[in-house]
Amino acid sequence: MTPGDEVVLALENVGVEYESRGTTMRVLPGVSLELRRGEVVGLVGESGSGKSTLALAILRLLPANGRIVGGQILLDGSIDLTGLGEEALREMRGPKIAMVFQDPLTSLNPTFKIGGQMVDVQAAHAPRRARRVDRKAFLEKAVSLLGKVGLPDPDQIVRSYPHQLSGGMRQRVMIAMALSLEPELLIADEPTSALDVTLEAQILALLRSIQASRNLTILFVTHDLNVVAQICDRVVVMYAGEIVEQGGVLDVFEHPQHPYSEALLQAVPTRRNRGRTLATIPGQVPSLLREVRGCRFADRCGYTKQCCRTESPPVVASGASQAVRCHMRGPATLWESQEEKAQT
Amino acid sequence: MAKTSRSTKARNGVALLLRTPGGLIGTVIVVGLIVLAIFGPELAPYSFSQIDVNNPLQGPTLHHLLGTDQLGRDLLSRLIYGTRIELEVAVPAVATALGVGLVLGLLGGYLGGLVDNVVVLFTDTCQSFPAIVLALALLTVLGPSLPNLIIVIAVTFSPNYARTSRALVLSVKQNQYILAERALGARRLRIMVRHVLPNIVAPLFILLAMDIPSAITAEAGLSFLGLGVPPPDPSWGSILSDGFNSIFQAPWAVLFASMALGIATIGFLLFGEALRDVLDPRLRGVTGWRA
Repeated sequence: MTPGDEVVLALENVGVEYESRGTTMRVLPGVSLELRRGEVVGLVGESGSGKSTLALAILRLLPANGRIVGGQILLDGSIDLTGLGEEALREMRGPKIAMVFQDPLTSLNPTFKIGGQMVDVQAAHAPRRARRVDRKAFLEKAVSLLGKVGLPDPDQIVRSYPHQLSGGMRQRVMIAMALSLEPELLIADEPTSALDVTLEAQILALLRSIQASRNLTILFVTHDLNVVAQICDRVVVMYAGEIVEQGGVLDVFEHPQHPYSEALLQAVPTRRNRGRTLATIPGQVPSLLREVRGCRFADRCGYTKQCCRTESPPVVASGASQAVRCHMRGPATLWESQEEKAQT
Repeated sequence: MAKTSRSTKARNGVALLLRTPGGLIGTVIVVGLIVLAIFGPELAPYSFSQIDVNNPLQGPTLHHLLGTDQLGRDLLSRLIYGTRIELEVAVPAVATALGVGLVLGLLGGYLGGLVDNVVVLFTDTCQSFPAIVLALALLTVLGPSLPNLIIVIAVTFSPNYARTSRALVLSVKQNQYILAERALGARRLRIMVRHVLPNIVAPLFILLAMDIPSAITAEAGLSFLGLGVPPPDPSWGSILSDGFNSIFQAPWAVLFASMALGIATIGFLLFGEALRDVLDPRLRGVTGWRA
């Protein structure tokens, strides 16, 4: 389970724009991120921070009004996904990078039985000649995968329609379907947010065990820090389209370096703050319609200095695993300003 | 669940179709019309062209159950013969319209962009003419005959199917399972045929069932104007228009032809609705009696 050094996916300065009614919104100004083989990376941030956009951009599945502007998405160090044509992309989606979506209730076509859909997915990536012959083999593989993701009586499941299964079962089906193509990277976009807590724990445990047995890389998009703590090796914190901090889960959770990560962690209900009003972060995410000068978090930050308003903060390495985008981590440190604060 | 064979599946489908009162009535009417269309000549008491000069414009009698027209031809026989003509025109016309419209709507709705613009331009252009004017113009060019009638009705009906299926595609396209399919690398054509199409056919069946009587009416209208089925073939439209001339002396022809049209309309409508429910697995077992 120790993540190797091999980079599976590298985003270099990937920008995304949405266009709506003539106005262009730069949703991601330029994101750089590396995913190494066998690691589980949590991508966290509040609604509208660009997590899902980033996930969709990787697979080039942005809605029609969104487009990637600049940057590279390098798969296995050599294939640039931003430059691929539709058919080449189609071959990447699934066998290389698979995705599981947020709402399992709507992720399956209601008019087909589970077995048919799972066979179709595999057939779409089989060599042309094998497609007809192998349907039986595909179905067998579907049955065995459904068993592996912990569904009872998979023979029965393949003959069921989606509406005959519960939400948790459907999410397992989605995971099995994604796994049937043996991807290198699995992007999970809030796969448990539509499920209740017990099911969430089961699905997380399932993902964890599959990840370990296949040395799978998982990009786990979520807004739930508890989920990150349970499943991830590394965490990436996004705010208003920028990565503000990333690092090992323990390091970030114990010593958040960015004021935003710090504030986020304080907003998590724990045993210690039981009975007290939860901390919130005042203000709201800046509008992306106009250019943001300086630090995007400056308006809501407790440590804002003059330079935060005018200059974009640098990305600074911190500790063994962390990197943070903040002026405080530069020459003047967070601890100093905290001391200043304590004195006043 | 035991493995079901094709024949038991079909039997289950029929049972589902007949389960609701609407489905039962609709199926009975539609099957009845089809039987009349096939076996009409054997069932009709007279030939459609047999003239009883002594008894024109009669009301219902024992000899002529639904009365006679201005030439003394038996109305019941003419209506029965007419059933075949109606179905011969309406079913292929509407089926062609559905086929053409569905392909246009799927392509436009799913591919978007230039293709969509062309489809919308085509449907808007067709629909900017009043249907009857368009049909008259086409029939004048092609000349009145049964196959031309079918073509003309298909052309005037297809934009409606293109628009409806395009709108349905646009809404189905938003579903997450389409995105999920794309994320797992399904081909465009495959998504269109396997995932979009099955989700839009059910509502189109309602439209189809509603349009068969509309096509019958369109045929009647064109026959009324003299551009439909050439006489002496007894289409319901020509029976109506013949009867219209003598409506004050003998309203029977208009009355019974309209009733035939009404019954057929209701029958196809109920049948289409029941068929939609059977075809949509989500509605199976959910709606016993529809409130």
